[in-house]
Amino acid sequence: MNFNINSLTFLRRKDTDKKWIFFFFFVSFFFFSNLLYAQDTNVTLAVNNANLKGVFEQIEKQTIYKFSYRDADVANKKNVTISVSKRRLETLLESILKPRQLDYKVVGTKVLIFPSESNLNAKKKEIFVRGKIVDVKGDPLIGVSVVIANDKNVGTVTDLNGGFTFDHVKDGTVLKISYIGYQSQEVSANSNLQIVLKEDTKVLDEVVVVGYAIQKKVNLSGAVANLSPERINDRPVVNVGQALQGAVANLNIGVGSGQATDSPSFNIRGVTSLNGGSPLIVIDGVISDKTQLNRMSPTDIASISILKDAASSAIYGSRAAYGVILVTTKSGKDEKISIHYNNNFSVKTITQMPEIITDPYIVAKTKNFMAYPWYNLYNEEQLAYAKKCSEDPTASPYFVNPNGEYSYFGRTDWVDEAYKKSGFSTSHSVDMSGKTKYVNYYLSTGYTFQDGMIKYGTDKYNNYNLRAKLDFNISNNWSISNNTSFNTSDYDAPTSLGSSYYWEIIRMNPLDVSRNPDGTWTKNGSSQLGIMSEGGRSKDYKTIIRTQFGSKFDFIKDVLWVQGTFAYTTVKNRSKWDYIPVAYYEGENFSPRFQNEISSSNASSSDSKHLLYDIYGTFHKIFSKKHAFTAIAGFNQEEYRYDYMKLGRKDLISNDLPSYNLATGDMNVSESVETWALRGAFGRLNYIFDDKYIFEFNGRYDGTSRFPKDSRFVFNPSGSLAWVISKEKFFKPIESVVDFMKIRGSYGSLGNQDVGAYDFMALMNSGKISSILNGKQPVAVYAPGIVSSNFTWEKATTFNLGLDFNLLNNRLTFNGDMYVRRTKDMLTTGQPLPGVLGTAIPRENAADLKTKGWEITLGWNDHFRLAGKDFNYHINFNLADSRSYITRFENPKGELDSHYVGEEIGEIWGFKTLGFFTSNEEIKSHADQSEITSYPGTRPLAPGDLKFEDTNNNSKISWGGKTLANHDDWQIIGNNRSRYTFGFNVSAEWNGIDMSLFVQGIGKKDYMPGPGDLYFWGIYSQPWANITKGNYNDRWTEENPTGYFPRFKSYVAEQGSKEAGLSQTRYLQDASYARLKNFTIGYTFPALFTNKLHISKLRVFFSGDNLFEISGLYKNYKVDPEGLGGQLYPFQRSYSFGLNVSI
Amino acid sequence: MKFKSNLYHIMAGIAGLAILSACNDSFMDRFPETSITEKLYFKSVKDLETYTNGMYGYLGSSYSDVPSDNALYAEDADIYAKMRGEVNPSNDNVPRWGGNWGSIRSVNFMLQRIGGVKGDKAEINHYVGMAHMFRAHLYYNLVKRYSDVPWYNKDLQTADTALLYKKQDPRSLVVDSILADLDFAVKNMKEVNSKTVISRDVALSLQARIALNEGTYRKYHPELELKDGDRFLEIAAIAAKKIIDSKRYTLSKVEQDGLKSYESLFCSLDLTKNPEMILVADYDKSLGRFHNAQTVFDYNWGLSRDLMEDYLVLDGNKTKTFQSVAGYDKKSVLEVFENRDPRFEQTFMKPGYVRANSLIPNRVKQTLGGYAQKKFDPRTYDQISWDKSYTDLPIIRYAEILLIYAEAKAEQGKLTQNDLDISINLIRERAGVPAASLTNWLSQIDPVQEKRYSNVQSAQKGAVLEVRRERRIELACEGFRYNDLMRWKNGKLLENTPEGSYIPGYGTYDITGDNQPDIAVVGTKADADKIPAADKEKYKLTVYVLEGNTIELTGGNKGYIRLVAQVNKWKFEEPKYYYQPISNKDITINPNLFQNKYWK
Repeated sequence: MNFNINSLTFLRRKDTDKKWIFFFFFVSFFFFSNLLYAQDTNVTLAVNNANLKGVFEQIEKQTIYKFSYRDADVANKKNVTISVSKRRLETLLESILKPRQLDYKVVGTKVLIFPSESNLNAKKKEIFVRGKIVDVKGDPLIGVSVVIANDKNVGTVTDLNGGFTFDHVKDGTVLKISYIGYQSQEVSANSNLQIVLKEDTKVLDEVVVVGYAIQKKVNLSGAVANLSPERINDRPVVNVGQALQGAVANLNIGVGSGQATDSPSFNIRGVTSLNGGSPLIVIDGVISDKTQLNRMSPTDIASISILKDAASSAIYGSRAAYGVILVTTKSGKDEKISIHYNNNFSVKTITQMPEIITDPYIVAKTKNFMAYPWYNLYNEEQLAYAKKCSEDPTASPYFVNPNGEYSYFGRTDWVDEAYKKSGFSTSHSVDMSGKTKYVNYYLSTGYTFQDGMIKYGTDKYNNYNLRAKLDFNISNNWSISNNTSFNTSDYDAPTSLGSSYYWEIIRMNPLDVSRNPDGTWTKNGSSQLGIMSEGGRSKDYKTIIRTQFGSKFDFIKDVLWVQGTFAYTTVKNRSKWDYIPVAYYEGENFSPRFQNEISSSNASSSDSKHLLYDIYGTFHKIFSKKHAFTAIAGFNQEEYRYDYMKLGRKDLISNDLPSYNLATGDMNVSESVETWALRGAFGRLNYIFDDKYIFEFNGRYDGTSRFPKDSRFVFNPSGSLAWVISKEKFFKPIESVVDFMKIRGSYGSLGNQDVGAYDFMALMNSGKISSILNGKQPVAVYAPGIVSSNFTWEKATTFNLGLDFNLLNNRLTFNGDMYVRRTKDMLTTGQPLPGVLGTAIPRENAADLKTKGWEITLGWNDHFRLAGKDFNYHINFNLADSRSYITRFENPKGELDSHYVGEEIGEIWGFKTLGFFTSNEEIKSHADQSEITSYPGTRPLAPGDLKFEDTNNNSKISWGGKTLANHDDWQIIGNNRSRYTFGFNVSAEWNGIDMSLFVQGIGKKDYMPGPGDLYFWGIYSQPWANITKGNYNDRWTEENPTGYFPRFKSYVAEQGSKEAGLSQTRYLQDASYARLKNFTIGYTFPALFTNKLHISKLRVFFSGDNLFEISGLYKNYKVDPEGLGGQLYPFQRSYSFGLNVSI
Repeated sequence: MKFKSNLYHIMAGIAGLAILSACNDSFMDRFPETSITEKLYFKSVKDLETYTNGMYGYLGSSYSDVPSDNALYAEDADIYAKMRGEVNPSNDNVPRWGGNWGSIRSVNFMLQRIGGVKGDKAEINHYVGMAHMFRAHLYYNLVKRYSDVPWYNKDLQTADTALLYKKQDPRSLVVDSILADLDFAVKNMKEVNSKTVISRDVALSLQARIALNEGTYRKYHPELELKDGDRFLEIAAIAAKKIIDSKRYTLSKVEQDGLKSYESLFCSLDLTKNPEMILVADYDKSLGRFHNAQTVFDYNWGLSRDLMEDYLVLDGNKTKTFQSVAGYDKKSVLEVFENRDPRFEQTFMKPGYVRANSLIPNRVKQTLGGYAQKKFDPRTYDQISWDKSYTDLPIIRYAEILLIYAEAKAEQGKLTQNDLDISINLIRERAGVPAASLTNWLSQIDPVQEKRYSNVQSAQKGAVLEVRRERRIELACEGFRYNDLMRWKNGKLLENTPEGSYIPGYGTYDITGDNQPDIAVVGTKADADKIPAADKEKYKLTVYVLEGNTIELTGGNKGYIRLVAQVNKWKFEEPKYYYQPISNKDITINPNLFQNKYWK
C-alpha cells in the first residue's frame, strides 16, 4: 500500500469553510485518512477485441470490485483491444469507458457503469409523464413522493387515485419514488407509468447483534430484544442508563439518585440471586461494565441488544447468567462524509421536597412535647421568646442565654437552604463518519456538563468522550479494525456531600439559623452548610481508555471466516479530598469552635487493566437453498488486575493549599490489589430448515480463578428451537392478516462467577488500630473468617417460551416471552450455627431460587396523510412482570428473620392496623398491645394511639416466635418488589414537526416507611427531626379523629418493633407510579432552506425529562417515587432546548 | 483443494485453543497480594505482637456510673427495661449472644497457631500470656452476664459439631479456666516500661479484679451453690499485694494547673507518665483519637443524692457521716459542699464552676434531676464538643488495686490496721481525708451503710461497710458501681427512684453561689407569670414550671428533684435480674443450651 500523506483530497472537497469541524479529531487519524480515497488497485490486462463484459470480468478476477451495469448500456459498444501492465484501475477504466460514452462510479466494492452525462443529454427529448402508483393488491397509494433523482427540488406527490404527472421531463430521467412503509424505487421516466410499490419488509429483514454474530431477527430462537436508541441525545440525561429506563420490557434500570455521578444499575428479568448478579455488558464485542456503558457517549450507540434467556447468553458463559446487554457503536454508512452535531441546554429543578413547619412557637412547643418525659428542650423563657418570634416575624431570632450562649428562634426551612431552585446542564456531541472501498470510519466526541443542586458549595460534573473507529479492508478477504474510545470525567463537590447530608438536613431544627448576628456560622449552620461551602472539596477523576484491534479473514467469502479481537481497557480513578476546619461561634464572646477540626488532605488512586483475547471462526452456508448451517467455535481469555492505593495526612500547613505534601500530621496509607483470570471455549451450532425450523445449540466451557483449582471449570450448555408457523402452507389463508408468526422455546444453564476474586480463601485483614501504644497507632492483623471448603459455582437455568407475530402489513408487531429461571446453589450462609462460632457462618452453595415472569412488547407503526403531508407515528408499549420464590434455604426452624422455603422475595410482614383507639374503654376491651407499645410503662396507651388487629383472637398483639409455625398476628401485608414495570412511547412526525412522549412506571410496589424514614415520620421518629406539614396538620386530635398520623407521642416511630415504627397496613405505601419521563417536540427545517446553508438537516427541539408523575404515595410524603426514603441526592426535572445539525 | 486445507487449518487452530482452555495452569491461579493468609502468618514474635495489637480494644475504660444508684439517667437503659418487666427471652430486648464470641475466637485463633513461631522463648511466651489474659478477661465478662457459659480453648470450625452444640459448662469450671489463663499470663508475661502497652502487671491487676469479683459473688449469691468465695478473695488479696510489694506504683500526688492530684487524674491530657497508672488509654488530638467524656457534664445524667450523702464530713482530724450533721436532709445545693471529703467537690460540680466553654458559672440543668458530674469533664474549650475530648483515660489505676486489697481482706475478716495503712489510708491521705482507724470502723458502724448493705457477712462487718464507702467514693463515675451492686447482691437498691438536690418549696434559688437567684421553681404556668418581669430580666431567671415537666419534687411542692419517667416504675426481681437470659433464638439453634433457671 502506498500511503500518501498529502492526498487529503477528501478533506478539501467542497468548501473550505467547514474546516472548523476538524479540530475535534485526533491528529493521529489524519495519518490514516488518505486511505479513504486511495484507489490504488493496479490491474494488468491484455485483451484483443473483447466485449466490455469480458473486460469487466477480467478486472473482477484481479480486484475486489464487482461491476454493475445494465446490459442495454454496454451491449452495443465497440469491442476493446488493450494491453497494459499494473495500470491504476481508475486510469484504465477512464481510457476504456470514455470513448464509449460511458462513465463509472465506485460505491464500496461496486463499480457502477452508466452512460455518460453528455451522451444522455444529447439523446434526450422532453416528454410529459403520467403515472399511477398502486400497492401489490392494486389499490392506489396516495401521497407517494415522486422526485427527479438528480434534482430533488423537482417533485410531486400522488393524488387520491395514486396518479401523478410531470411536465417537461427528459426521456429516461430517473424518478425516485418513496413512501413510508414501502420499498423505494427508481424508474426511468416514460410517458405512461404503472408502478407497483412493494411493502417495505424492513421489519422482517431487520438484523440483530447476538453473541459473536449477527442474525436476522426473524431467525432468532432465543429471547432477544433490540433497540435503536434514536433520540437518546435529545434527552438531558447524564448517562446512558437513565435513557434506557423503561425502553425494553424487563430491562430494569436502577437509578440510584439525582447525582451527576450516579451510575444506574442494570437488571434483566427481576431477582437474579440472593447475592445479586447483573447482566454482562458487552460493548463492541468487549466485556465492559456498567460504568463504561453509563459514561459512554449516547450518540455513539447504533444499537443495543438485550439477550434475556440462557440460550442467547450461554455463549458468553459464566458472567452472563443473568443476561447480556450488547452495545454496538455506529459505523460509517455511505461514501458521503456525514457529520452530525447535537446539543442541548437544560434547566433542572428538584422533583419533590418535604414541606416543613417553621413557625418558631409551634416548633418549640411541639419539640418539647415530643421529647416528653425525657427531655425538656425549651424552658419557659425560651418558649416565651419563641412565641414572641412567632407573633412578630421581625423579632430577632437570637436569644442570649444567661451564660452568653445563643439560642435561636428562627424559621429556617433547611430543605430550602440545602438545595438550589434550579441547576444547569448542557451536552454536545459531534461525529463524522463515512466509508469507502478501503475504509469505514467513525469519529466522534461528546461533552456533558452538569451543575448540581447543592446550594452551599457547588458540585460540578464534566464528562468527555472520544471515539475513533477505523475498519480497513486490506484485501477482498481480509480486514483489520481498530476501535479506540476515551472517556474522562471529573466531579468536583464538597467533601462532606453524602448520605449524612440528606439525613441531617431533614433533622435540622427550623429554629436554628445558619449565621450569627455578626455573620459567623452558627453551630448547626456550620455543621451542614458551612462544611459544604468551606469544609473542603472532593475531586474525582475517572478515565477509561480502551483500544481494541480486530481482524477478520475470510477463507471463503461469506462462508468461512475467522475473527480475532484483542482489547485493552484501562480504568483510572483518582480522587483527592480534603477537610478544612470551619469556624463557628456559640455566643458573642466565645472562642471559635470548628467543624472538621483536624484538617487533612487525602488521595486515592486506582488503576485497573483488563486484557481480552478472542478468536473465533464462523462457518455459514446454505445447502440446497433450504438447509442453512452456521457453526461458530472460539476461544476467549481474559486477565484483570486492579491496584488501589490511598493515603492521607493530617494537619495542613495552610488551609489554602490542601496538599498532603504540605501537611505535618499523622499519615495513613493503604493498598489493595485484585487480580483474576478467565478462560473459555465457546461454540454455536445453528441449523435453519427452509426459514421455517430453527435449531440452535450454544455452549461454553469456562474456567475462572475465583474458585479453587479443582472446581474452577463449568460447562454452560443451552439449546433453542423456533418454528416460523407463518411459513407453513396451512397458514396461507390468514397470510393477508398475519404477516409473520414464530414460536420459540429455549433452555439453558449457566454458571455464575460473580463472587469476590479471593472469596474462596480465608484472608487476614490488617489495619491501624485506634489505640495509641507508646505514642503510635500500630498495625494489627486480624483473624480471618471461615471459608467453606466446597465453595463453587452457582448456576442459573432458564426455560423460555416466546411468541412473535406481525399483523396488518407488519404495522402491528408483538413479542412475548414467558420464562422460569431457577438459580441453584446460591452462595448463602449455610445452616444456622450456634453463635459460639464467633464469626460469620461461611457461605455455602446452599440455596435455590425460582423466578417466574413474562414480558410483552407491542408496536404499532403507521402513517396517514394530514393536510397533504405524511403523518407518521409509532407507538410502543412494553409490560413485564416477575416473581421470585425461595425454593431451598437452610432454615429448618422457619425463622422469619431469615429466608425460608416458599418465601416470595420482597414480601413485607406486618400487623394489620385497625385505626386509632377512640376511648380508654376501647383500649381496655381490646387485645393486649403492651408488647408492641413504645414505653408502655412510661406512656400508657390513650385515645389516638394505633390499634392493631388480633387476627388469631388470642387477646394479645404479638409476633409470637417470629417463625413460620408461630407468628401470631404478624402476617404478610405487601411486597416491595417492582411489578408490572412498563414503558409507553408515542412518537409522531409531520411536516418537519416531530413529537415524542415517553411514560415509564411501575404497576405494583409496596413500600413501608421504616422508623428511620424521617421524610415520612418526621418528628414521630425523634424530637430532633423536622415537623412535616403532614405530621402537624394531618394527625389525630380529638377534633380531627380521622387524621393520618396518630396522636403526638414522643419516639413513637423510633423503633421498628413498636407502634408507629412497626411494619403495618396503615402506613404501607402504594409505591406504584407512572412518570412522564420525557416529552420532546422538535422541528426540522425544510431541506429547501437548509440545503442553501449546505446543511442536510437542521432540527431544533424542546425536551423535558421527569416532567410529571402520578404515584400512590401518601399526599404529604413528598419524596420522589423513584427515591423512596428521600435520603439521597434529589431527583430533578429538566427542561431543555437543543439542536441537531447534519452536514 | 484450497478450501479444504484452509478449513483444516482453522479447525485445527480452534481445536488447539480449546485444548489450551482446558489447561488449568498457573495463569488461572491468582493469589491475594495485599492480604495475608494464615499459612504465611504466625512465624515470628513480631507476628504475635502485631496480632495481639488487635486485642487492645477488648479492655476499655469508663467515665460514667449510669445506670446505678450513683446517677439519675434521663435516657433509657437495659436494666430499666428489665425492671419495668419488658424483657423476656422470647423478645428482642434480649440480644443474641453471638456478638460476644468473636473476640474469644480471635484469641483462640492465635493460641491454636503458635506452634510455628520462631524466636526467643520468653518473648513468645509474653504474647501468648497476653492472649491468655485477654481470653480470661473476655470470658469473665460473659460469666458476669450469663454465669454458665460453654468454654472453648480453640477456634471452632463448622465441622466441630460436638463443640458447637454443647451445653454450657458450669460456672465453676469456666472460672477455674479463667484463673488458669490468668496464672499462665502472670507467670509468662514480662514487665514493660510503658503505661499504654500491656505488661505483666495488667494481668496481675485483672487477676485481682476478677478474683475479688468472683469471691464476693460466690459469697453473696447462695443461689450459685458455690461456697468457696474465700478462695478467690485470697487470690485477689495476693495478686493485689504482689503489685503493692513491687513498689512500681504510687498514688499520684501531682497537682496540675491548680487542680488537686485526684481531680487531675480525670482531666489530664497526659497520664502516660503518671505513677498511679497501670494501664492508660491514650487519646490524642493530632491522631484524631477522641472520646466523648465531655458528655459527663450536665448533658443527660446527674449524680444522685444517695452518692452525695456517702461522702464523709471532715471534722478536724476526724471524720463523721453526712447524715450525722443536723439538717443534712434539707441542705441546699450550696450547703452540701461544706466541710466534705475533698473528693466530693472534685467529683461533683460545686456551684460557681465555670466550664471551659462558658464565661459564667454553670447553671445546672434541673431537668436532669441530679447534681452535675465534674469528674472527667475536660478542661479545655476545644474538647467540649461531640466526640472531641482527648484527655487520657485510666484503664487500671493503682488506687483500685489498693481497694481490692482492702476489700478482699475485710471480706475475709482478715483486715489489719497495717493493711488499712498500706491501702485505704494512702488513698485518704492523698485525698486529704484523715486516716481511718480499724478499731473505729469495727466499733462505730454507720447505720446508713448497715441498712443499705444489710446482707454483709463478715467478722469485720464495719470494715466491709467502710471499704465499700471508700470504693464508692474513690472510684465514683469510673464505671464500677453497677457491677459492685450486682456482686454484693444489692440489686434491690436500683428499685429506688434516684433523687437529686433538695428544693424547699416554690421560689427562686441561687445555684451558682453568687447570692443572686438563678432559677425559679414554680407549680404552674400561672405561677411563672407571677414572677415579676423585672426579676426575670435582671437575674435572667431560668424558670421551671413543674406542671407537665419531666421532673417533679418528692414532696409535691417541695423535696428532692426526681425524674417523672422513673417514679414507681421499677422492680428488681432477685435473683433473676442478676443473670442475663439467653435469647430463645439461640436456644432454638442449639437446643442443648439451657436457659438460666430464673428465666425459664
